[in-house]
Amino acid sequence: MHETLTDYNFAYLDEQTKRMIRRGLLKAVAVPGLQIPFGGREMPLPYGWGTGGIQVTAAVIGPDDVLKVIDQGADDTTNAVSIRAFFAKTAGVATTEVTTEATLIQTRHRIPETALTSGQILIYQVPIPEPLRFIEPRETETRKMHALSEYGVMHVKLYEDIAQFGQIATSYAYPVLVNGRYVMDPSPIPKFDNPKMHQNPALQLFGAGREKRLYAVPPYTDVVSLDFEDHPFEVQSWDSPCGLCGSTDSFLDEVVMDDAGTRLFICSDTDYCRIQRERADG
Amino acid sequence: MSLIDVRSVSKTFILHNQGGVQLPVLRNASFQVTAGECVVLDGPSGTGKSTLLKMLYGNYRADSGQILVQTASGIEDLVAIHPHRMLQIRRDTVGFVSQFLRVIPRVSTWDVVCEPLRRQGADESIVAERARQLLQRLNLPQSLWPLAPATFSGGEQQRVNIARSLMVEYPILLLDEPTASLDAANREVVARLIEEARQRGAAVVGIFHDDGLRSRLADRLYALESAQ
Amino acid sequence: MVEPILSARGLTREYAPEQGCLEVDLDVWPGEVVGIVGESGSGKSTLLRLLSGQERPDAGTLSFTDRAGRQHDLVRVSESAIRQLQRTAFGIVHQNPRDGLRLRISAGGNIGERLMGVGARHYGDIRAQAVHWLSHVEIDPARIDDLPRYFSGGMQQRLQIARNLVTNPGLVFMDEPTGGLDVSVQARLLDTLKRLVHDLGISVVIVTHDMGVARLLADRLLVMRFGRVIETGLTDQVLDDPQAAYTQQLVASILQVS
Repeated sequence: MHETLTDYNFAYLDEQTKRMIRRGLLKAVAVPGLQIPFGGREMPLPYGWGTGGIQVTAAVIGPDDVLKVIDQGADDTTNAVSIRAFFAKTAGVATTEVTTEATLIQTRHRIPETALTSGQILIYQVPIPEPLRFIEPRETETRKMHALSEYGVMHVKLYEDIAQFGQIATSYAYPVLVNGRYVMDPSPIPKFDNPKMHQNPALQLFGAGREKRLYAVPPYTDVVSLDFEDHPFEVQSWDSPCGLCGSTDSFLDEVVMDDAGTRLFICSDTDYCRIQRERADG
Repeated sequence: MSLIDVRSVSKTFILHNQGGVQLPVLRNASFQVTAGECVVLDGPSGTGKSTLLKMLYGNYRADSGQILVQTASGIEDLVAIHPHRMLQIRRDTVGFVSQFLRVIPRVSTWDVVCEPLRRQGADESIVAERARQLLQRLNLPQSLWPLAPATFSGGEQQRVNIARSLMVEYPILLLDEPTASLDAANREVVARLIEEARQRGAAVVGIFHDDGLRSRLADRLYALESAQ
Repeated sequence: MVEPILSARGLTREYAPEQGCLEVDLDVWPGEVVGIVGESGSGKSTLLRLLSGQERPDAGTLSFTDRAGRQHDLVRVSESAIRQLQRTAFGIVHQNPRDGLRLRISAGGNIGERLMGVGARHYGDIRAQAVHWLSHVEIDPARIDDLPRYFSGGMQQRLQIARNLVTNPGLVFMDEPTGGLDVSVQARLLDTLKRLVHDLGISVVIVTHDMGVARLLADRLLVMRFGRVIETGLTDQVLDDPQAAYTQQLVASILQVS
């Protein structure tokens, strides 16, 4: 176990900062999908490594929480290991790799395959919170577009996909409409995960460190992926099951096995893959 | 009943950029034209014949007086009406045959001619039939119809212009030397077209320098004198 | 009697003394083209921005009647409603296509945007509309997936027009639409515009400093100077029998080419 530091405040951030972030989160929960600006702090890791997610986690974590951190679905990548160690050290909380045991899950680019339950909180690290940014560089204008629900351009993006590739080629950060009101960037999760956001019993919080924005999807909220009537939203599918656990309903990563270029498709969610294998082994 | 009733119309041009020079061109012009009648404006050059004709079309403004015109929805005073209303009167009531053709360079002869009747919302088959008739009578060969008139000779352009101006059977027809650059055969065609307009009841006001045409068409002359 | 679709009284927006637009009265009837002429700085572009709701007046009234017969008070209307009108009932064609087009979006996407903005969600229908409007403005429909940045100036302007017309607006505002174009390209664009105005029964308010463009396109003219309308009338009347000293000067300065 890690030794708890006493020179820092609990969970690294000072209490004033945590209150400020919590106020932002309350507002975000009250208006699902709306981006709330917050006074993002400098964190002891570079932008792009999850500074937004860490600040949200620091603001909501308590001594009794059990923390899980995943990066691209895996608990054992550098980023996940570092963040987990960070909170073990600064907050002294218990950590886990088991989805069902966690009360807080900080994630980069995935939603766990195991269904989340009421009471759990999923915290997303977000690089670019503004779904309209690709077409409109001015923040004043994008805010106005959100305020007035001027979302025609979102479909322009999907239109361009179909015109170019014959289908909607956007496969991650696929835009969604939250609670029938705000269009939201779900962070760069694969569109495979989009349906999991809809009516999820867990609270979903989003933190963008560089852009200093918070947003949220409260439990049991409608989250609909944008599409066309004649080109409906579809998730990715694979021809073969997971090469390790045999699962046919999870998101698979392609792994190159040797110098001859042998490829293996395996679950990106390491915890889920482990459970499936244990179950198969009986 | 007169379709046109001009009452004491006066006009002075003021040339602001040439020291405010005042050029009186018309003083108290008054005359009427009834349905089926052709009145020819008469007088030496500089007496305002062309100015008066242009005022009847709303192209020039009158300083004073009234120009009363019978339209489908009642009598209107062209001196006082809103320009928007004048546009409707030009579309439905008053036609003008000038010596010059003014169109967008790329539009075909056919479309130039058809436009006035199309603008009234007429059925395309009726428009086409009428355009074909007029173009043929005015001896414009079919090979020219798809071409833009910009490159045509002066006489051809004028005949396109006449065809265009006569597409609609206006109750009032204004003619400004319609035969100026035409040969004898085409002059005859135009004279017949004007006679036909009169026979269907149009009130015609014209300026003709051609004496033969003038005596053939005029019911009356309205003599203008120098306003200076 | 048909009512005007756009009606302004005493419309005023003054940036500095005699700068802007002062006490302008204007009516636009269905199907007519109204030209606003004057030198740069005369206030004609300000007037266009006021009429199209891109800017709010300091004083005056402005009302617009859409194709469904609904009347809108453009001075008091909320910003969301005015933006809605601008995307549906108005067309706004800018002098520079870069201001009116999305250059990184295909021609089809540019045309389809307004449709998607009002809720069109059928890709096939949107695409069919785009093809229809491309041919309407004489652009080869085979270029539907090309980016407008590879189009010539004249084609970009055509595309901008198509993009505006797709929602069947009753009123189109144009600010020097033929400004940066070669003379021959201008003529072709004017011809297209004239045809569209007639075929679709749209009204147009067009700002231009080019009297030739005004004569070919506009039914009526407003002449502006120092922010005020100093003369109005039928286009040929204003150009052939100008009353005000300034208008006479403006008309006298037209190059006679023919």
